[in-house]
Amino acid sequence: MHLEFLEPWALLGLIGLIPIWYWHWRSLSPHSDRRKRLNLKLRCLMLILMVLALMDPRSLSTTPRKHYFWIVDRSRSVGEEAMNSATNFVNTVNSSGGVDSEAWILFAGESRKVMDDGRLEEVVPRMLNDTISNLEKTLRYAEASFPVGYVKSAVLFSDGRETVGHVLDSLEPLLAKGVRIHTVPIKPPDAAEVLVRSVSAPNQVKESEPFRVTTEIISNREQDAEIQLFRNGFLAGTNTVHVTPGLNRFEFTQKGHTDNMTQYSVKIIAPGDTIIDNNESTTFVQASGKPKVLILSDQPQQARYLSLALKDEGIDLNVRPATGMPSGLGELQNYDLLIFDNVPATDFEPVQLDLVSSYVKDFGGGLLMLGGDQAFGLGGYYRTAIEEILPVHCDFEKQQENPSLGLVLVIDKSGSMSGEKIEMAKDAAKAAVELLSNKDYVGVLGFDNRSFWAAEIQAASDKSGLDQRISSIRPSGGTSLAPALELALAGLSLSPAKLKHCIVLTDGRSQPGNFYQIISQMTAERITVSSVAVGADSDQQLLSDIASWGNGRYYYTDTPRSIPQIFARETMTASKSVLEETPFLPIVAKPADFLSGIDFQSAPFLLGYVLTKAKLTSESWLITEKGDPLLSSWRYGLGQVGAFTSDARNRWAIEWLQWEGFGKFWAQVIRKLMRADSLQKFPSSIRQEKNGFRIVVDTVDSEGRFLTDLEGEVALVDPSGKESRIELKTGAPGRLVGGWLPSGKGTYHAQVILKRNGKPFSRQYLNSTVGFPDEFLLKSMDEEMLRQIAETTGGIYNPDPKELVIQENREAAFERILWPWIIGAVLFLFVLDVFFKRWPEVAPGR
Amino acid sequence: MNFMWPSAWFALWLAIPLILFYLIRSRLRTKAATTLLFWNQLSPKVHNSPLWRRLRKWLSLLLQILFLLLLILALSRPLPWWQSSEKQSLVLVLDPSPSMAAREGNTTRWENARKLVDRRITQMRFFDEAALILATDPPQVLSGLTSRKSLLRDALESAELTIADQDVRPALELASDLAGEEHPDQVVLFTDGVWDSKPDKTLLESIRIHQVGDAVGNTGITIFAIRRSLVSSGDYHLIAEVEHSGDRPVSGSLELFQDDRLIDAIPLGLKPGEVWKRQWEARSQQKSRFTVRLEGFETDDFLLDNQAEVEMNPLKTVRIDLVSEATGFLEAVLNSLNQVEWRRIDRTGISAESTNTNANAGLRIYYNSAPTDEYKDIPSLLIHPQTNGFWGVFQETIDKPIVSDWKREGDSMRFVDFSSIRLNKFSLYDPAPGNEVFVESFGRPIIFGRWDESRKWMVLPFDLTESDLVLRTAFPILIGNLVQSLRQGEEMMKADLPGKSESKLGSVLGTGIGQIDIGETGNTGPQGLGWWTVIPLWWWFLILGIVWILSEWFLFTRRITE
Repeated sequence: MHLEFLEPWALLGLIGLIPIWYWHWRSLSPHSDRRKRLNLKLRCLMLILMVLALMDPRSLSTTPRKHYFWIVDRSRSVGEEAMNSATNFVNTVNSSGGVDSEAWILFAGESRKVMDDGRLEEVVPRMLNDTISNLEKTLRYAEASFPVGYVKSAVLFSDGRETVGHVLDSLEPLLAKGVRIHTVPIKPPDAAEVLVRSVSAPNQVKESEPFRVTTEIISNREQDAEIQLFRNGFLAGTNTVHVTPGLNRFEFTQKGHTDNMTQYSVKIIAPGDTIIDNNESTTFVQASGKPKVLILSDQPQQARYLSLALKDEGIDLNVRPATGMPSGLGELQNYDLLIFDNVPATDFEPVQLDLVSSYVKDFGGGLLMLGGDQAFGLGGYYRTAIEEILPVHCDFEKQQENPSLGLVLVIDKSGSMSGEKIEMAKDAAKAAVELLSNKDYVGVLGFDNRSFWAAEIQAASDKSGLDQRISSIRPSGGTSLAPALELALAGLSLSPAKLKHCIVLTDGRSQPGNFYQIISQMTAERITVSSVAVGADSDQQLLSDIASWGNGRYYYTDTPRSIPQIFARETMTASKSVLEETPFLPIVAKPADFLSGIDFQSAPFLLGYVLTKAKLTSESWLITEKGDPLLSSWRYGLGQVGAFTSDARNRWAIEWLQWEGFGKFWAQVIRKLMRADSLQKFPSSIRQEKNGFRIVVDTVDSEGRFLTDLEGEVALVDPSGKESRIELKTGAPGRLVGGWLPSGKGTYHAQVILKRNGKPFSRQYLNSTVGFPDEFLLKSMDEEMLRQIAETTGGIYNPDPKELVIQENREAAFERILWPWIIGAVLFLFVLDVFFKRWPEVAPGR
Repeated sequence: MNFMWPSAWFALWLAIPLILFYLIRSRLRTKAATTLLFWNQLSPKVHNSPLWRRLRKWLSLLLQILFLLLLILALSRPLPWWQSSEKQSLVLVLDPSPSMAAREGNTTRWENARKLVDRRITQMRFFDEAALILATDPPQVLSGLTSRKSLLRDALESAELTIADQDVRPALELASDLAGEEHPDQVVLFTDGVWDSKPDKTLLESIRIHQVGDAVGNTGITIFAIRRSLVSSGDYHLIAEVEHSGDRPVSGSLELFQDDRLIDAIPLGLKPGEVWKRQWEARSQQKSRFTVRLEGFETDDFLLDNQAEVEMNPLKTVRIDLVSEATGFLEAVLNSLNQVEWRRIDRTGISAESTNTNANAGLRIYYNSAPTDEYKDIPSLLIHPQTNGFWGVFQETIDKPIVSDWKREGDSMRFVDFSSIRLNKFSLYDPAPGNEVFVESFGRPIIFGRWDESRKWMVLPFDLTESDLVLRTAFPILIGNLVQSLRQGEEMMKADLPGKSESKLGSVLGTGIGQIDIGETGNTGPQGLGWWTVIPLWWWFLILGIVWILSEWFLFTRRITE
């Protein structure tokens, strides 16, 4: 044992001994000399002890007290085995004498300390991110958590398999701090398991070229199983196979598809399979071939005119209805241009529109919107991601001669609308108000059990005032629609507007009412009524009937985010002012290379178009006789976007269909807008490493020279559709590197963009898929790892719980604080001091 | 006031014997005297003495009780009213990234941060504990949770700056785990906020941050790297990048040394935010050490990026085993290649020498022969194998094929032109899965294989004597490309530098010293009361006790008290 003084400078306090002695020498005390000397000694001793206490002395000795951490693996690969083993082990230790101090550490991807074993069940594996095993992090956590003044030991109950981190790196620091780790091997549960370990195929094939998709299946039982191959989400093949324990390899033969990028997934189905998370894996194959264009049309058969014309020009047109919109970026990447042919925004989910925006902006795809009665503003594209990338505005100023519109919005404000629904409804109402001109009229009715005017019918000039009143709507109460309709009827009847329209929105079931009579009265007053049903609990039948009786339109949505689009569309449709259906001839506004060779002088009439307004930096190549945009385009991000405000079918373009320049015109427009393939590509790769994704681009030209003046970045879209930008940094001459952490399972789409002096120089698309975590890979216990952990730290592999504590004969440094004991001694001396001052002395001679 | 050990108040019972001692009357001693005159004169004065003289005994008793109370108060370990009695378990995280070496006046950010940590340790109460973690990746636990200040100070002493940029996120995650979900604010990060990867916003907002360092400008080397050419053996490229992040133009020079010999000196004039890049190209097959240094730049507060060094490995000699009978044209091609050692192995000699050759062969060329599966991990060029194997299955022989297309990109096919190659015939194979077709004849693979990072083999399924390939430049270029591709992986080196983010010295947290005043920790006095509030109360009571010891002794010896 030795002493340590934390505040040694306090020793200066011993100077006080000098005045004590001096005053003793000059003492007037009546006591005998002997008593006086005694008092002096006591006083000096008291001062010395007080100074000693001020120095905050600590005694450093050793102690055999032990602290144990029971570190238990709660990851999916071991299931409950480790916890059961640990519980039995600890019970045996406790019955053999126990330990001085203990605590539990439960871990998987995260770690959690539990002091009381009665609370172990409160920590469920999911809380610890049980699809990961991070042994390294756990041992560092344990290292930092050991209490001072105890011999440090831990018992690790695990299969030794780590999916992230390097546990061996953490062992030397543990050894240096005297932490001993004993390891108890845990065998993973022997449940029947079969998994798809990998799917591989050539990265690139030629169109129609046969190739093989190879899959590796791991099983721990001999059994029959069914392997399914999916191509772009559709079943492309099935095989019944016999799997044996261990690695099995199977193949499918496929041909290079017409799609540029094809996703192949393999799924295995086997009886008695325990974990289904690892039954599927994915890969991508890129097929080189002709450029592809996808047209989404409200009437696919109407697109045949365009399709035939383009086929003659060597362009393949893939025609689908709106429901055929690609679900993911991978599939969308197959196409070099996307055409919206009179499909309204309400036919898509908002996330699909965001996807299209990303496809154009970050991945260089092209977009063309054709006109129609469901296009642009009429299609509800106002304030959507699509409107942002279009070269024209979807709202515009009304013509003076257009009739005024009186619009009443009847919005359900019952309690069930609270949250996102009511906020979207309010946003939708504000958007509708924005679309109206100053000569239009608008009113907003809120209803629950009662009805009230949030904003009475008034001219739509005071938009900010109307917005405030709309914002004041708060959800509460039940649903009674009929009184609200009566109020709307009463309001609109008195309105001086020429056109009158009512939009009803509700998510619930109304109390009974005379709906048919009310609507009939409205139609008698030439008021049209449209309805929007939100969610599966709404009275869809009633709302559909209301729209039908009211000569309006019925919408159903279960995505509150699409309500603003519906309202925008309705407002534009009701105002009847965006369509210009008079014959006109197209006028070339400015010469363009891509329109060269087309004789517009011979072009026949177009019979109508949608009124739009060109955005400031867009180019209007063709205009109408009134000067409105007919064909506009601009570059948005990496892609090009065009707008043709008339159509390409037998409504407005019926005469154009017979024009000899029809096919050439569309072919040239489409070629201008589609993704450019003229930019150079460089060898690039994405790799998944333990620390995340790493992307490497070798900027080497065709002659092998390094290009060192390029800057790079990656436009990344993760599986949830979230976009981000990753900067590429120079790693070496001619090499750019970057990386990111995966945020979850799925496919990551990366567009590598290289620039020289700020101008695009190269663009390349890559993807990588994060499959199921390595935790599900059905690996056996890593006994070697467990042995190494134990040996490196001086622990025992698979120790006997009865002997574990007994065998521990180390001692730990222990510090004791001494000043309170010293003060206790001072107290004792003080009492003595008073005693010797006050106790009468025996008089001499008596 | 809270008391951490209220049991000390039981010692108050000691007041009882003290009071009893003062109730004892002193017995007067009898002394003989010759006359009582002196006492008769003195007695009235004694009886008319001031009140305090008459109460002297009780005042003395009060003093003794006061001392007793002082000792008991010290023993009970009081806490001042502004301090909570809840134990604090702090996790102190120290950022050792290179930017912390930036100068701040007469000291550095690192020293300032260490002082702050030390101060924080000083403020710990006896029942508080703290851990100290160095924010490296992976994080280093310098000290686990402990209340021993000496251990923490020793751990702080052992902390060192790093050369390379660090990711603070793993350290913050470990610290958050230690602090627990309920107390995220017990994680205290000492940093200048200069990070390449910024931690999650919610994590940053839940912890406490002591930011050191003002925004300062810096001129530094951000990249210095070397790479051998992919196409021309012996050639190399060296790049350097210098960035100036100050707000005024600066000038200086950059000097480049090869093996301590000055080979280039370039004057630099940089505007604020300017990035200067330069590439050098030269030729050497030897090992060399390159150093680049910035000189003459004024007011440079960050010195770690003013010099960088990188070593270029010597051009690797590729060993080639030619498994065939004597073949003049093949041997001539191999002789023409730089840094290549080749030897011919008779076909029958493979198995006998396989263990030696496996370890040494960079490339194995089989002509009119083929390897077995056990050698498929060795990079191989198979010319006219005449058998099936891991590369594919023989289908039929095709006469007089025409080369219709070939791959023009990639390490193996660069500059190789097959446009005028004539073949009399070739063996059509069904290539194994994963193979790539390099040269084809209308969809039929003429040259195929796999030449990438994981596997390297290429198959030319035709006899060289049945074609004019060996008479064309395509053949030596192809062999040269294969050899050069085997040198990749070791051909680039990058100097250890702090990196762009560190050199800019720009904090992602925003500017300002000490975002959080240390007074907010709750363990010290209210803001503005000063250093004395961090000294524990028991210590003050002991000091008062010492003052009492001296004062009471004086009063006692002068008979002012009893």
